[in-house]
Amino acid sequence: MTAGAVSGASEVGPESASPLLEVRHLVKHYRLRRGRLPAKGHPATVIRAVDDVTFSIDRGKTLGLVGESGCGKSTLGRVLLRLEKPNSGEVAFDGDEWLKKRGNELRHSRRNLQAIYQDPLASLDPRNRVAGTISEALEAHGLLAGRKERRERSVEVLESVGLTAEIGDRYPHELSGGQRQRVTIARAISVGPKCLVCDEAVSALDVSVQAQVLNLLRQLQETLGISYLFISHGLAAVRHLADEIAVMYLGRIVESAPAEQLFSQPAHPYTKALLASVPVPDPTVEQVQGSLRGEVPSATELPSGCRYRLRCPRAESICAEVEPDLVSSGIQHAVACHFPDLGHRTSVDLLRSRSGESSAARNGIEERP
Amino acid sequence: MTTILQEHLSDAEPLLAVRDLDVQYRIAERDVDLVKGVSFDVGVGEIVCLVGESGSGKSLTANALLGLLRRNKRMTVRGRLEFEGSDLNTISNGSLRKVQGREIGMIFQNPASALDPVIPIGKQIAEAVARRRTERADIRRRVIELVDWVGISDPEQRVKQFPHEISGGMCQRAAIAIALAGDPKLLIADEPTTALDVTIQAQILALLKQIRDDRRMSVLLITHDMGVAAQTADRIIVMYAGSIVEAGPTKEFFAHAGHPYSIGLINAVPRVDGARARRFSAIPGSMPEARNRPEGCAFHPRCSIASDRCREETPELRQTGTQLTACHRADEMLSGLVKPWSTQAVVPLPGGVT
Repeated sequence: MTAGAVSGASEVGPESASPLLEVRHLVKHYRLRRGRLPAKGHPATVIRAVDDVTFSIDRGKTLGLVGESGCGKSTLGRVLLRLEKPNSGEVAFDGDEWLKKRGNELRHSRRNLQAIYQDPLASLDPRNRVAGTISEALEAHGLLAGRKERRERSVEVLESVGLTAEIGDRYPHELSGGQRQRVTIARAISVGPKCLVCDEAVSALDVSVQAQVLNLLRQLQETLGISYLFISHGLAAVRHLADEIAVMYLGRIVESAPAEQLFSQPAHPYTKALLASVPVPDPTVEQVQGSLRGEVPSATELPSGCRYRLRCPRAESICAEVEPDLVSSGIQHAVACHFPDLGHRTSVDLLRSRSGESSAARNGIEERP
Repeated sequence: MTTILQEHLSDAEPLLAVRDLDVQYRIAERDVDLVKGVSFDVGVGEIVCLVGESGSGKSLTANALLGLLRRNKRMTVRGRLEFEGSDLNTISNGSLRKVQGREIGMIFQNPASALDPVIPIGKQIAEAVARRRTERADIRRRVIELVDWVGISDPEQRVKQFPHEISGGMCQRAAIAIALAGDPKLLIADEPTTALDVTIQAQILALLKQIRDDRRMSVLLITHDMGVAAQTADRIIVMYAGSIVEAGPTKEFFAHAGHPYSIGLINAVPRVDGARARRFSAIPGSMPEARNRPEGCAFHPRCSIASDRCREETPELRQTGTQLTACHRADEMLSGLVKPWSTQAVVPLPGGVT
């Protein structure tokens, strides 16, 4: 747990060849019924929250899962945490069939996959002191038998997330937002997980505190070798933590690539729009604000063909007819678009100032309606 | 201090002039300063951003402007809040109500909680419109006009919907429509996009700018995100621990920020352009509580270049180059002699964008 134990990640040893988490063709649909009685002749409305999603996460690595509200990214996280039952698909976690685990077997394995959420105040017991909350997690997983050992372990994890032992005696309401999120991280790592699902873990925090928590997550990954599934609506925070990024839109992954490649060569128009909507703290960088029109359409009435076409500036007739598959467009780079941009325009070009550093790229932005 | 500020402030004629605003809170027989000596102007048609972390006093400043602290018996508000020839801090409650929602509109962070969950949004907007108009057809026309203006598609249908039936972005647009119903001269927006997706944030910020352009309305935008401030504001005001620590026109501010806190806030924004950083440049520590603010410069315990003087003497806001900065070491920083946060270097990764 101390700094310097950076070798943690490589200690995983021979197993590290296979990915820690492998998700194949995962589907989660919700059936929606209006009223109490099933209407005759009217099939129930189906929300395709997660619609055939495939990805994997290597040991000690981070997958950033990005998309707007309603794209299914949180549902995906919940399915992986076994909080929702998927309709179909397979998940291999640490070499086991994760979705087939039941009863005690599942309970014993749950410690390997922990979660942190957006609002730490909502995920901490308001009437339990911090040390008690952490001890409870250890007790629930049957990890340390003695009260004293649990207490010692909670102090240890609090210190590893940059808090003092004295925080253990406080209640959640006595802490700042950043401290609370550190506590939920401490609780999650106290049981020694192999993978953490971070669902919008920094979205509710001040920008300055976000940076602290992201640095902490990175440092914990270096020392403990944990894998992260980092779910976020913004690309910026994900960039610095993720090794790979998958962009999700209406239940499907529309683009996935190694983090830096996604930023330097975004191929899907949706990825580009997401990139362009992140405000850059530099007024000389002129951004086309609001370049992404409209909102994510309802998941109950998906458009025909490409799900993104209604908001896409490049949509043509084929986009309304055929849904594009996620196909490889380079090393580890996959994109689901009939007209992907495979040129070498970078995110920097997309955002570059009007001072004339890259007029070609600038024109590239303006050409699109 | 006030005189320097006045010289410095925008070219636009001031609509709102805040002078020496103090907000105190009485706790355990003691008055605690929550906001201290805050002075600034908002010009006609100008977007001014108040930037700072939670606890910096930026929201309190906005609430004080609208008289929202009056009912709180433990709060004392001092100073002049000049708006259209009257002092909002001393006018009667009756006159204040004429200003609230009419001359000054306000929107908040969480639109869902700002709207009534059991009333359709159209009716809620109509309630706000009815303060100025009486004829039903006229009200209805104005509601549709407002809904259309804030970019809610299919207005005729949308006005019948309840807040829970529409997305967060649409709720915020409805809240903006309510704020605009009184045709205000000033719109106060307190973290209006913090709860929204980045894509919707971009749309709402574009909408605020468009409204400003359409009506020459002034906007006081409160945010903790320097990215939002850079892309939206004409002028930036940075607050820390209840006081202004730096203020200046946006372009100059970002080019020559002279307060370590401002620089820290700018660096903390994760960027999608430029090189990927190995570490985030976080500002260490957290905002001190109002009850135990440190001696000297309130920022010194978190500052990487704090000197003995910073620990003892509170820096005054003074002119440094193009802006106002409250830092003893601002001149050294501007001339490049010292650099805050220099230990957290940006390391480009192989294969990364250079």
